[in-house]
Amino acid sequence: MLLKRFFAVFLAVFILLFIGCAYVQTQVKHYKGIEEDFSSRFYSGAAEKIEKAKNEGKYEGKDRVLYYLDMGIALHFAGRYAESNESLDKAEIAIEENFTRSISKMMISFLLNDNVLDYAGEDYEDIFINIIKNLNYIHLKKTEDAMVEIRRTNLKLNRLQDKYSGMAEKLGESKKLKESETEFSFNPGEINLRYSVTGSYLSMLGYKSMGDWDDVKIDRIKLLEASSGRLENFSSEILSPAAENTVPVYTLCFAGKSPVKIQSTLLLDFDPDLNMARVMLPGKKNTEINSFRYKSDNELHLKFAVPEIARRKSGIRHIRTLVNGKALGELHLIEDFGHIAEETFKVKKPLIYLRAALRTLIKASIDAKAKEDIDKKYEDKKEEEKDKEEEVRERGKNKFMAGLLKFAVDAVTDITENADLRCWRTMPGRVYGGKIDLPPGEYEIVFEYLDERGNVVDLEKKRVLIDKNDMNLIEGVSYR
Amino acid sequence: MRKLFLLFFCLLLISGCGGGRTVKRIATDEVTDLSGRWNDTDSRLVAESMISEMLSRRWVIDFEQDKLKEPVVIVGSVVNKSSEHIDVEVFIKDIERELINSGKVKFVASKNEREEIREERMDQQMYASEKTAKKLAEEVGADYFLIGSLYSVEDWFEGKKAILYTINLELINVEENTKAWIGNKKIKKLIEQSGYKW
Repeated sequence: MLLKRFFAVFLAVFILLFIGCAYVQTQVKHYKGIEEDFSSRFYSGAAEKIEKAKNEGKYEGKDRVLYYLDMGIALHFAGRYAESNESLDKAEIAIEENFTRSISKMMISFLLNDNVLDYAGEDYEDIFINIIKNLNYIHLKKTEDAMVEIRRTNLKLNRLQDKYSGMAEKLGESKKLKESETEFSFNPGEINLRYSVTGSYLSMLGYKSMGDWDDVKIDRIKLLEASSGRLENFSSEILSPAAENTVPVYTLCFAGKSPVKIQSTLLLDFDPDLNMARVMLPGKKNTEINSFRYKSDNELHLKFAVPEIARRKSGIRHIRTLVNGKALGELHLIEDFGHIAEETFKVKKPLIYLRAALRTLIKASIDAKAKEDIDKKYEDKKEEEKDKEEEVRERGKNKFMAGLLKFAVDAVTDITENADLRCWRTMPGRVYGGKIDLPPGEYEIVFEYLDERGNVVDLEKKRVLIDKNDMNLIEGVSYR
Repeated sequence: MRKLFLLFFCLLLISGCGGGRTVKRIATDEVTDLSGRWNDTDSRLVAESMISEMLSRRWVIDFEQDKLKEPVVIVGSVVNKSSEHIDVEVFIKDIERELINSGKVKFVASKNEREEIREERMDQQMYASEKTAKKLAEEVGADYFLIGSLYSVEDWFEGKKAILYTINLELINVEENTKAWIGNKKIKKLIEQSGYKW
């Protein structure tokens, strides 16, 4: 009997530990080697490592979007543009498919955590797919297809604007309800996601190459609006006519790494005297994030994990272009994905926190009920025993079993308390752009990635052929 | 408690369930709307409808009465200005097929095809017998040039997407640079994606 119970407990813990490793935690260990390859520009090596990680089960079905994204960008920087497009197409389709959410997985996520859900990509990641696909088509000299990607970017941005304003409105309504002290609520965030600066820049170049000046002007307006007028000089520079006997050569460089999500722990405190529950930052005074009315008989202090956006360090602050050894000015910073990630997360944050707090509450109730059941079960058994010696022996066994089961319950609660930290980790962090005028011909172009003091952090050399009939877009990247 | 765990494992099993793949052969003209994107059915139906409309207009009769021969048409480019990657070559081939099968016009091979044939003809001058070698400068010049463009407008909200494809074809008289016919065809699709599944 004891062996059977022990086996049941062992099996439950084993299953949950197995689930804990593969199902309820964001897997990031395999990114170490991949990110090192990205930093050292060994992109084909990174693609191989991504494939290997997939074969080892690091990208499960629910994470297939991440696999396609990582593979897509590795192949892009490896110069395998058609293959990159194939992978990014699959990512886009998978994101679309993941719009349909699985009820069963959502229910499981309420018992475990958001890691069990299919990863549908962050909105800025979805936009970046089309930017990379656009670049792939430009490199493949398929301007018409490149323009398709620009149109898709604009469509997605329109959808996002609708989505976020709808989300903010709904949360705003919930705030009103709070005033009548009946509902759980958080303050909604605000965001302007109508335009993408990089998208508008590439769109401008595309329409310019096709001689479609009306659309060029529209994109310039979008670019200025998206950058709050910051890129006035940049847009004028891009659209200025090339000097005599030269053709415009456009540069686009990616620098640094995209932001990642890190786990942050919050406290959920229940005060039975006030019938209040408060969400707080642990270890600090007056750090109440929000509160809501909740009737509870017991004082409870629960911890729960939520994701936060964290920028990754990059030494690069400026990018200088050298043509045949001669410095020809610096590129403009046109877009910072860290900022976009923070802004979009700000809007979604209240919902993520709300889900996490409710999940904690459910888990705490299940945890308490399970422990109560365990105590009850082993207490009852004790009373049934007649023989004193047997009673002592049985009590020992029961105490051990009860302890083991309670430990299993706590283990399950702990293992499953993980924030969903999935994101496109191989996406670059910032975008720089510029224009230089060069007579047609072959050149050695060097991008010098500089730190704050002007020291060269990284260097990238390219041999390029400047053709008067081409768009002449030169792309660079440094993940340092 | 047991019930809860049972429910949890049932959910775990359901969430892992997936259908297998089946393959079935179907007729090539059968309508297959799967993703809602532009597909072979759209291409075929638009080509059939627009070419039928084009050939029913007065310009054909006017040309035949004036020149006492069938008009010679060439299909130029169809520019994709939509937000989808559409293989316009498939659409162009559908148009060409409809034109040839109509029997109302003569049809000139496309630019790339002509270049390939010219190479072949040059080759024949060197290697084919005098009797069988085809003559140079005997090509039939086109009277009309057909060009087109394809646009799309999308509207999307919470799992519902409406997409309107507009296809424009223009027939230009090569000698006069005048437009003999302008055709327009619209296709509207409503795609609904459920927000939830089991």
